[in-house]
Amino acid sequence: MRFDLAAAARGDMRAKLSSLFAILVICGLAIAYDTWHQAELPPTITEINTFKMTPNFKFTAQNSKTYDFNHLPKTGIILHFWASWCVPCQVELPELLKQIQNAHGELALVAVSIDNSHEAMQKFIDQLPYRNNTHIYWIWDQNKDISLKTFNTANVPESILINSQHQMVQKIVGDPGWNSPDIVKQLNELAMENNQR
Amino acid sequence: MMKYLFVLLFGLLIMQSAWAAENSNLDSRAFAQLPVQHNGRIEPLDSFARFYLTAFSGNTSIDSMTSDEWLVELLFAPDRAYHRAVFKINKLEVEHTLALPNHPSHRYSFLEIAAAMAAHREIVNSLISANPKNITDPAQQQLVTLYTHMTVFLDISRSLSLLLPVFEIDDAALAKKMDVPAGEKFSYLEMMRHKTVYLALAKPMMNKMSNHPTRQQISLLQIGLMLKHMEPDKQSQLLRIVPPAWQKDNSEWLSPWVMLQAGQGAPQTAALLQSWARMAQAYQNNNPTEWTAAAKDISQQNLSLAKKQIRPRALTAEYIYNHAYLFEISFGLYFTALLALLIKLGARRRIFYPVAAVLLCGGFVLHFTGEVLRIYIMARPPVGTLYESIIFVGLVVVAGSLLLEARGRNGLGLAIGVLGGFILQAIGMTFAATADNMEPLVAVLNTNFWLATHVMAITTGYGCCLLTGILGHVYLLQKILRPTRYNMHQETSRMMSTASLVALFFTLTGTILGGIWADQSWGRFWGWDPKENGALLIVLWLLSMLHGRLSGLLRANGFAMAAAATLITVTLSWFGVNLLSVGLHSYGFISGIAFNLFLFVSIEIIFIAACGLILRRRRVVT
Repeated sequence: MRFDLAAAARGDMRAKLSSLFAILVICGLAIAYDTWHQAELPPTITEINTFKMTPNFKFTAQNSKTYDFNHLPKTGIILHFWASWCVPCQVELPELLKQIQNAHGELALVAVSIDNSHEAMQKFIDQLPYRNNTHIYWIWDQNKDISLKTFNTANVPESILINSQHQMVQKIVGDPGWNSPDIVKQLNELAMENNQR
Repeated sequence: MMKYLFVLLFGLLIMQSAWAAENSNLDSRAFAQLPVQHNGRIEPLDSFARFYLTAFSGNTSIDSMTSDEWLVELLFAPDRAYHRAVFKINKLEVEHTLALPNHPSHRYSFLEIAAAMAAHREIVNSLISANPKNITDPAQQQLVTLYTHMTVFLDISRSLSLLLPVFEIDDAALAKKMDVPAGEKFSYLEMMRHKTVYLALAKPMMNKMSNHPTRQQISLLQIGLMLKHMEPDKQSQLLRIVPPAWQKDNSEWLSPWVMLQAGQGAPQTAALLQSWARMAQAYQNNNPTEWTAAAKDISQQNLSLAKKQIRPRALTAEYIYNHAYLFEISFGLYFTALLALLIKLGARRRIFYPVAAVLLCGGFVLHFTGEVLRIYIMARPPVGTLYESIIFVGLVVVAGSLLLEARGRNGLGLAIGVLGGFILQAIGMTFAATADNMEPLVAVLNTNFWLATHVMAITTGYGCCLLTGILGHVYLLQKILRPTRYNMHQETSRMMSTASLVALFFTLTGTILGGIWADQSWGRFWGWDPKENGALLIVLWLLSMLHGRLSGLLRANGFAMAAAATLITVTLSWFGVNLLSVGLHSYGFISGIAFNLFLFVSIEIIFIAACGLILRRRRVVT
C-alpha cells in the first residue's frame, strides 16, 4: 500500500484508493474515540469523600473533669467555636442547644469558647436554656490551643459536624440557622448514623 | 557521530541550567516547586515568581537573584524587599510626574514609589478613579499600571505575615505573664493565642496612660501598634497556597489570611501553616536542612489535601521548562544555522552544509522537547492560544523541511527549515514577552478531543501552507535567477505540489472538523465567522490552485505564483482574523499588527507581480 498523495494526484488508482482508505480509517477511529469519550463522562452523583479523622485533644469541661476527645461516646458531635461577645453566636446558641436537647443523646455538643474572661463566658452560659444537658461540654479555650492551634479557627462562630466514627464531615461558617430545614436534616442524618450501627 | 555529540552537548547544557546550584545556601529549588493556584491553574511557585517579577521589572532576575530567590525574600523578609529597586518605569513622564530621583536604571523600590505617590496623591487618585477607557495618554496608563503593580506587590508581600516572627517581648515578667519565651520572636498566629491575656493586661492602660510609662507598658503599646499595623494584611489574597480543606475537589485555593478569615481552617491547614512557619523560621536562622525539611512537609501536606489537583511531576516539569529556555535556545540554533547557510552561500565551502544540518536538527529536537513538555505540563494539546499556534506551526514547518531535505538532499529543504524556523520562533518570542503563556482555556475550547483534532489539523495545515508559499517563492526566484537549471525547477515544482496537496488535506479536514465542533459548542455548523471564512478562504485558494494546474489553466509559473500567494491567504487568515477585532475568534484590535500585515501583503503582491512580469517578458523574448 502506498500512501502517496502526490502519486494519487497524478492518477495512480491504487495510491488513490489506499489514501482514501487511510483517511476513512482515521475518521472512523476519531468518531469511535469520541463516542467512547462521551460515554466515559464522570458520574453525576458526587463521589464519596474520604473524611478525615478528628485529631484528638484534651479538654476540661465545666464540671472540671478532663476528657480526651477520642474517648467521647460514639455519637454525632457538633464541635462549635463561639464567644460571648460575638453577636451571631448570641443569636444562634439557644437554637443550637434546642437541637441538642431534641436529639435525646444522639448528638453531643463540644462548645469551645474563645472568650477573654471566664466570667464573661460563664455569665453568658448561665442564661442559656438546656445548658445542663449532659451531652454538652462547655470549654474555655483560653490559649486557643483547640480553636486556633489544632483546628485553625480564628473567627467565630464556626462549627464542624462530626459523625459517630469521629470523622469530620462538614464545616459550617457563621450562623446557618440551626432551625432551618436543611440543617435539621443534616443533624438528623448525623444522629441516624448512630442508630444504624 | 558529530550529530549525536552535538545533541548530547546541548542536552547537558540544558540540564546544567536547570539543576545549577543557586547562589545561596537555602535551596530555592525546594521552594520553587511548591504548588500555588494562579490564573486558574496549579503552577509551581517558580512560574508565579517569574510572572510577577517580569511584570514588575521586565526581567526574570534581579540584582543577581533569581525570581525564586526574589519571591523568597518578598515573602519571608518583606521589609528588606521593600527597599529593593524592583519596579521598572519605562516612561520619563511618569518619573517626572512622581518627582522620583532619577535612577539611571529607571528601577525604583516600593518605598520610593509609595512615598512619591503619597506626595502626589491627587494626581494618582484622579487617575485610578477615572474610567480606564478615558485614559489615552500612554504615560498616564503606565502610572495606573504602576499603581496596580504596587497594590499587587503589597498584597503578595503580606501573604505570610501571620507566620513571620515579628513580635518580641524583652521584659521577662511580662513574657511570663503572657506565657511566651522572653527575648524570642514569635508570630501573629502565636500572638493571637495569647490575645486574651494581652487584652487583660492592656485594658487598664487604655484608660490612663502616664507620662512615664513603664517598660512593660511600652512593650504592650508596641504589640498593640503592631497588631493594628497588621490589620490590612487580612485582605492579602493573591498567594493561594492553601488547598481547600472542606470543599469538594477542583475548587479555589486560598491565601493563608483569607483562609482564616473565611473560616476554612481545619486541622490539616493548621499543620500546613505550621510547616510554612517552620520555613519562615529556617529562613530567619539561615538553616538549610530545616528549610528543605519544611518544604518537603509542605509538599506532602498539600498532596494529602488536594491529591486530585496536584501533579507533582508536572510541577517539576514546569520548573525545568522555565529554566531550560528550550524555545529560545532553538531560536539561537536556527539563527546560527542561518548564518552557516549564508556563509556557505558566500564562501562556498562544503563544511557548512552538515554544520547547518546539525544545527537545524538540534534546534528541532529542542523545539520538539519544549512542545512535549508543554503538553505534559498543561495536559492538553499545545494549540490553545495564538502564541502556542505560532510555536506549533514553526515546529511543523521545520519538520516538513527536514522531510523535504531528506528526500531531495539539495539544501533547499534545509534553507526553508532554517529560514522558516528562525522567522516563526522570532515572532513567537515577541508574543512570549507577555509573561504568562500557559493559561488554561475557556470552557468552550477545553474539550480535548476537538482541540486535538480540529485545531491541530488546521495549525498543521497552516504550517504546510507556509511551506507551499515559501516553495512558491523559491521556484520563482530559481526560474528568474537560474533560468537554465531545468532539473532543479522540476524538483522544486514537485515539492511544491506535494506540499500543496498535504496542506489541502490538513486544512480541509480541519475546516470540516471545525464545523462539527462549532455545531457542538455553539449550535451551528457554519456561521460565516471571520475565522471560519479565513479557513474556507485557504481551502478554496488551494483548491483553485490545484484545479487550475490540473485543468491546464495554470502552467508551472502560474502555479508557482499562486502558491507564493498562499502566504498572503494564510497570514490574513491566521494573524488578521485573530488580531483585527471582529468575530468570535478575535483578541481585540492591535493597530501595530494591522499596519505590519498591510505592509507584508503589499510587499508580497508587488514581489509576485514583479516575478510574473519578468517571467512573461522572458517568454515573449525567447
